[in-house]
Amino acid sequence: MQTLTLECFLEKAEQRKAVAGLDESEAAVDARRNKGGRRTPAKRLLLRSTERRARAAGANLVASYY
Amino acid sequence: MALPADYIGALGRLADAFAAYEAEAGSVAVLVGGAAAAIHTGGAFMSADFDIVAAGDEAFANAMATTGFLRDTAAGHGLGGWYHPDFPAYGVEQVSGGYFDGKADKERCLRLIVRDGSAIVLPAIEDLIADRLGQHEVSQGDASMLEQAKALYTIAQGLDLTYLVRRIEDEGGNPAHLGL
Repeated sequence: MQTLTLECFLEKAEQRKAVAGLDESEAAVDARRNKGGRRTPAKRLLLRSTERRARAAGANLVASYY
Repeated sequence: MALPADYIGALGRLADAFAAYEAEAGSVAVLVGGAAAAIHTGGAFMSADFDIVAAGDEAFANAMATTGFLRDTAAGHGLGGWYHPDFPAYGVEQVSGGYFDGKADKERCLRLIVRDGSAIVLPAIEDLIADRLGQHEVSQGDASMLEQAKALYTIAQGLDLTYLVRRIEDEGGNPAHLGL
């Protein structure tokens, strides 16, 4: 199993994205988000609970469809 | 777009749990699904949940509890959800089943050290592309899995194309979506 640091891995990912010209516009990012239609009931509950907890804590919300 | 600091922080706690799990179970837990794709793409999208494959239910529960994660009682029963109180915007779910139903080569996984020797383990990018394409085939009109697969494929370097095509077919996906 190949081992490297997360920091190094993410640096390389940024470089590869730049070289490939990966579209990271808001529309492209949203297109990659699971729209939630096939989520399990357990996952819907988890995401709903997570969103409530994040709101209560004043944390930055991660957009999720569920 | 890079992964935000609190996401990296949450991964640090998860890495602690992975280390505790491996110490008790003698096998690795693997972060799969959208979070794995998000990390592989350096945050080209994000999800609020971390899906984890870990064969030992009791060892996984022990590892999570000893590293500060709490059961998310609002998330129902089953294998259950977890969260870390320092990172409330993220939930963790242990998903059922084996690592890609035993069809993937686990030795191809990546071990990413997050801090102090604690690491998370991700699928090889080939396995993740295959998983996303397989899910696309049953996605009922949601193109997000295909878009994730395309993003992964676009930035991948040094792909083992023979393995990739076999794995896409294993997962019921269509290699033609990537021009293969």
